[in-house]
Amino acid sequence: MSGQIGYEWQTGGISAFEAFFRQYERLVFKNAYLLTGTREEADDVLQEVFVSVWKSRRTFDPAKGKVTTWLHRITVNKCLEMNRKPKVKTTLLEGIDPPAAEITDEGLFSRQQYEKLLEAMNTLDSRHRAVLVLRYFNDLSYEEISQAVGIPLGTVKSRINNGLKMLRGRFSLGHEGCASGGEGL
Amino acid sequence: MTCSNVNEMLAAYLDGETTGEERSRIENHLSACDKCIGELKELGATQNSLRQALKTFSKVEPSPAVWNTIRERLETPDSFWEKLSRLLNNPGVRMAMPVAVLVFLAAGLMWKGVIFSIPTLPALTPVTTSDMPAPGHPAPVPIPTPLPSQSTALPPLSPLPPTTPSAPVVTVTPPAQPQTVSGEAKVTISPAPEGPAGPAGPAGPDTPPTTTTPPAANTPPPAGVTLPPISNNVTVPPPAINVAPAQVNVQPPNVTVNPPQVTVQPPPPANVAISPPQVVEQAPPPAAVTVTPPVVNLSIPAYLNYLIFLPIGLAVALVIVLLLPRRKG
Repeated sequence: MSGQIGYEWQTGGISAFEAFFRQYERLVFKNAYLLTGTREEADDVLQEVFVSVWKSRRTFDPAKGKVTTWLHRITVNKCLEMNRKPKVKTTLLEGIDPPAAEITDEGLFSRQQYEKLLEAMNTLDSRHRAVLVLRYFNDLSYEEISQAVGIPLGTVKSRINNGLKMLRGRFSLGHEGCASGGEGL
Repeated sequence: MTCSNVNEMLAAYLDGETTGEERSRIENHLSACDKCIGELKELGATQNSLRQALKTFSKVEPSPAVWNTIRERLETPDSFWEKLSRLLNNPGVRMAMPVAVLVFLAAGLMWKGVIFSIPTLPALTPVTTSDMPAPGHPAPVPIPTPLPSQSTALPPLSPLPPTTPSAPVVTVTPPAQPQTVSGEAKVTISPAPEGPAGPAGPAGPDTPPTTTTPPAANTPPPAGVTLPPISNNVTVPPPAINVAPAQVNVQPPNVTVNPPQVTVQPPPPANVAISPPQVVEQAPPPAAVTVTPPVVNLSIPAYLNYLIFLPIGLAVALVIVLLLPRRKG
């Protein structure tokens, strides 16, 4: 199915490409949103990604990799090119409707804890944030992350490990200062 | 395995991205290190919380107007600058640009003679047939710088002292039978040619002259001075004057002897030294034709030296781009 769709969007016209866009627009947009931090910038990245895909659609070889990995790589590169600081406090959580309270393995995870964690997430530099998003939002393997970002496998391991430790440290600081409290990570 | 090594691999261990050997080594360390076990639990909790927090973005949707904007951009042809920007962003072009720059610089350096020099031709002058000799007549070959020994118009020399050691060697061999001569004998003795290792002039200390005169002649005649008339009573031995070729230039004898029984034989080498060599060359002169060689101007302005090789560098870069495999994305 993927091959048939890939063949159509690669050789067909704009109508066939629109079907391809509808299939992957949410995936690209959510990744762009997590990497840039704002909806406006995520929309801009979404545009740039699919315009680039249209211009280079004939160079993609489905036999050499998944189309999602290709899209992840273009998305990460576009976000790094924009090199814009995420505006976490004002826009990151807009439009999000997380559960008021969720039972997790660690216990009750409140909305405030979500916000603090996402704020800590967006204080990371773009390189660490990209590998964490690809791993824990897209569930890519380390090898796929290596291909998508274009870095060695050992670098992927170290970046994920260091990113998690930095995230834990920043979330703990913010969480300790929070009056509502809650269990730490 | 130390705690530091284990801490660097805990995330990969939790994600199942370690090899079997790494996993066994980590588990062996964790079985005996409570500190690393606590680090493992905290890192695992961070992973789970991050996964859940990121999943909350499932309800985020892109703007509906994005596709319309994309469609407009796809239907609009690319401008020149967009094509140029895409070309420059091509990985192959990025890799080929340093090569092109190197080729450009190397070509320029070669042209400027830094690596190797290209000889330049001297300027040519027009030649007309009037300058050419007539057929059958040898064209004299001009001698750019005549040698000192070939000088036929030397300035007159001051008279040398009779007993100066720098006087040229004049050997007068007395004849077998003395002869009586009368009249004037004009002998002009040119200075000795400059020796290869000695100083110029006939007064070189390395060439002490020796004068052998007959008993009747007390002093040798000074160079360039007309000898006084010889009285009839003077007995002059038959003059077989041998002049050393390398030291004395005796011009063609201008000796007036009355009666003419005195013969001065100039040494053959002196004539050879005086007369310039002539090369006989017969060139058929075209009649009244002025041959003007084409003026070839090989000089190129300095600022064009590098620009000439710019197309070469770009061509090399283009070939490299075409040969490189294309990359996805």
